[in-house]
Amino acid sequence: MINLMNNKYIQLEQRNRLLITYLNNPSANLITTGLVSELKEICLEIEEGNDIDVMIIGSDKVMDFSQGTSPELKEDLNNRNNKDLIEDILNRYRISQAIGNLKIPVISAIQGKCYGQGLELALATDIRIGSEESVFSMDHVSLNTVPWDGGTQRLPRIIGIPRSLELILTSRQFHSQEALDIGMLHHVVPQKEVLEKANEIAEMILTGGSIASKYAKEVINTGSDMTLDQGILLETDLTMILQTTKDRKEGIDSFIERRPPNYTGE
Amino acid sequence: MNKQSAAYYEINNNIAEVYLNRPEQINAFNVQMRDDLYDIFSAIHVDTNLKGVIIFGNGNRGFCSGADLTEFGTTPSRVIAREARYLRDVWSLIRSLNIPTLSALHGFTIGSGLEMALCCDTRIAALNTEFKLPEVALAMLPFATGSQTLPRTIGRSRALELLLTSRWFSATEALNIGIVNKIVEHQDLRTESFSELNKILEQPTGATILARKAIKRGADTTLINGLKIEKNLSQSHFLAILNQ
Repeated sequence: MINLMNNKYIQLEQRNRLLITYLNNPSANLITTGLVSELKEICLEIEEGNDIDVMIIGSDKVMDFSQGTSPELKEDLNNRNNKDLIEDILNRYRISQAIGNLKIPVISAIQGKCYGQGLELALATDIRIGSEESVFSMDHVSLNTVPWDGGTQRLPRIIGIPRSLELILTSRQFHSQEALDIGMLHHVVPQKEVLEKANEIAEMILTGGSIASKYAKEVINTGSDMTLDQGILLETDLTMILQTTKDRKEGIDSFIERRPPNYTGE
Repeated sequence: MNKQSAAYYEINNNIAEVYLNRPEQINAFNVQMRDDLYDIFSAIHVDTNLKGVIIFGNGNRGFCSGADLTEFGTTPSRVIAREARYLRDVWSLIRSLNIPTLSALHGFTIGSGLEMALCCDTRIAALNTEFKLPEVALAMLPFATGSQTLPRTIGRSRALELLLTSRWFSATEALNIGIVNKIVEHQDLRTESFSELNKILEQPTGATILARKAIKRGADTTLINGLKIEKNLSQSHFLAILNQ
């Protein structure tokens, strides 16, 4: 079971096998070490347990998704002792790898501002829903840093190198429609419907086979880093493993019998 | 092979016209169709007179409704199933053709139907085309190479959403995200498809073949290695022209 209580910077809501995680560090949802360690703890619980098949990450009420890293990072770097490694300090703020490594599909429900590391966090999720009012910016360079939580690698893999370069080098703000057009967002809806849309997508995923969902994520992400022929071998092997599951038989039976499937995740 | 087969082909003006031919089953891909297509594309591979290939789906209802699930689960073991996957590898046969390939899509274009189209260079879709990759909803994966060709066509992020949700999408969305190259009125599909392929075939053949090779081979490697591939291919082409 996921422990839903005792979090200070995030709020959790579990609906059967869906976990909704609200970032809750008012009002800008700045990313602090506290928020990061709570999120990492949740990722660990999801990976170790077998309770959750889809996660949504959003912001509570009408708060921004996240305006980026807390200024505490700068203080931590300034106050460091000589023996402290900068890498260790940054790692206490990094979160995208924990999210990106999750085997289950993760959806981000983005409203308000989504800047800097907040955007890097969203890029580590699999499906991004934006509100019509959302504003985005990869603003690191304007703040004299570089993206350091996966942004320089994930953004080009999502929208291509030329567009990534332009957005990162100019640090300019852009809106949901542009984000949709360039493929950074999958859907854009009015602000009050963002969570609803994320839920709708989550429900669509949850009606499918949970092992197949995880494998789909693996075969696309891992396969994209391989040659086409290697990727095809991976596709075949994962398909063969899926053929041994009960869910796969149920999928075909339900299709032939023209009824909804009843998957058990086995 | 004749018009009673699950697939057949005709040659006109050095273009191979391949027809999926189970219109009653919306051209569902079954073992018979796989074997027919394997024979067809093997023959196309060795026919040096051919300049291009177009795949059509017969009947009004769709290009191909995907794998025929009534035949699933009949393989004795996973070991044999895995071997069978590579014995009659239609997908690799289509991808490895040396000449331009195009699929002309209409109506239901689902699962392995879409995957077959993704093995081609170009896709033209009628406005009424309805797409879907239903595998994850059926607790499977696309396994006609679509899990690899789709992200390489539209990017991993958009591909993941379509796979995970198993949702329907329209010809217009397919055009916007880059799955199809052009959408046309259904009645014009045949004419427009030939016209698109002919635009490619009107170009000098040798250069066309080499450009396809450079793009396909280079896509699988680092930029530096891709540039080496381009260098070798283009230099041998210049040499060939000079020796003519």
